[in-house]
Amino acid sequence: MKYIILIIIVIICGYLGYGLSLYYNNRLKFFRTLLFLFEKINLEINFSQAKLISILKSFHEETNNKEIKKLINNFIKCLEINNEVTKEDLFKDIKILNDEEKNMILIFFLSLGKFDVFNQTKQLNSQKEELNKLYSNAEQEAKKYAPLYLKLGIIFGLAIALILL
Amino acid sequence: MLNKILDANIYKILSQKIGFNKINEIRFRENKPIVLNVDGQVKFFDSNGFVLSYEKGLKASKKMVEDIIYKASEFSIYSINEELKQGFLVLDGGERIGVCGTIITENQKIKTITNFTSVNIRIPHEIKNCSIPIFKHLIDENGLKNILIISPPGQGKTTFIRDFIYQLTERNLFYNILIIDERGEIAGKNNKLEVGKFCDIISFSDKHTGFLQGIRAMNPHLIVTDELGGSEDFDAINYAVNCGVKILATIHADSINQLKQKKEFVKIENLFDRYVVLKKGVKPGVIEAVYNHSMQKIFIGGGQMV
Repeated sequence: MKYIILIIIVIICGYLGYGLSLYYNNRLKFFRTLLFLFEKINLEINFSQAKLISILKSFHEETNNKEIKKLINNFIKCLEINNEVTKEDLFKDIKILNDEEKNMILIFFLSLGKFDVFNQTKQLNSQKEELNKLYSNAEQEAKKYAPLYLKLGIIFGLAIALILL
Repeated sequence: MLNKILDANIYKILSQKIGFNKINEIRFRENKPIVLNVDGQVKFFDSNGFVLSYEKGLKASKKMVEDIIYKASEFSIYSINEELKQGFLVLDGGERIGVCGTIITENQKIKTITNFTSVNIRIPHEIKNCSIPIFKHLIDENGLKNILIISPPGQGKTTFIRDFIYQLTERNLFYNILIIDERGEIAGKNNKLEVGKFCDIISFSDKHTGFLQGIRAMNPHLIVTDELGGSEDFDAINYAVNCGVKILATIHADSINQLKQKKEFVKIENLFDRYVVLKKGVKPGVIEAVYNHSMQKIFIGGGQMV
């Protein structure tokens, strides 16, 4: 019985560590998908000049990223209700971003569809660097912290198990 | 469609307190009161409905103006740049949004319009039977006449031609009607407006291309087109008449005399069998007079025959 409890403790601590590492992995996936979205918008505006909402809806169907899906839904809702895109509404139920990242993404969304093709492309290109920066920061964080928290969780579980032994 | 582009509060007031069926035009100018054109008269309004003075009228903000264009573009200004270059957009319901702002040019060509300062929304109305009083002057036992509708902007030229086409189809007169809808105003964007069952529509094409292609491909009996303007429009009309196709067209002019003074008038002088002048300063679609081929009055609005 004792050993079973000890194994459960190790599993729980490992799971907590996995949960923390998942946070960083999700952030990385979020920014990677955001970059894909960025590329799709840029491409569609330049080649098909499709309407913004149809571009977003088609990306919504293509992606599996839940956070990006939420972001797209929130943005479309803001546009369709009263064309007021606020930080609170845009990032409703999205908890993996810090304030600075939210501001950057808000600026990106606020500029969408506001210019002719030439100026919209110029605007997008100027934001690409910022989005790339967000992605590489998330990548570095994920590389550093995701395995670390997973290992720490397991080690912490094992340490407790050893003490209890 | 207007509910999608207007501020929710403004839409509520206009629909509940005034009624869109009465409004011909809404003008939003940055930091100026919103102006309505109701049956040819200028009106202002606040949250309770019409107000008598300009000062008491609800004002339009810059954001309001920008929002109308942004929403009309379905949040995609980049997708309507070609329309913006021409200075207007057309909505599904045939509403025409005229746009003012800063024109950006490159190599003496308009590149785009930015910094929007005012918009003018023209709302099309169906005035059923407005062409009936003169119907027999426009078509007789010899068939259709070549018809030119004349009036200043906003007096119902397009409404009139839409009703005339409707009356033809209502009477099961099996004419192949080809509409060259340069601005999407006759049949609406995506042909959403009802123009009858015998109509083919070429949308957003210039008249020259539309006439040439339409006559070749669709074998029309009647070509309907709006707002003759440039010299090439008159050439297109000439071409069609010489092909034996009848024409129903409109032109901006205050009166028959002003029409005669137009530089291009010589090109069409002997083409039209009937000139229909619409009354100005009253509600749209009211007929002032009809003139025959030699420009003699044959009908005066109000039912009197000459």
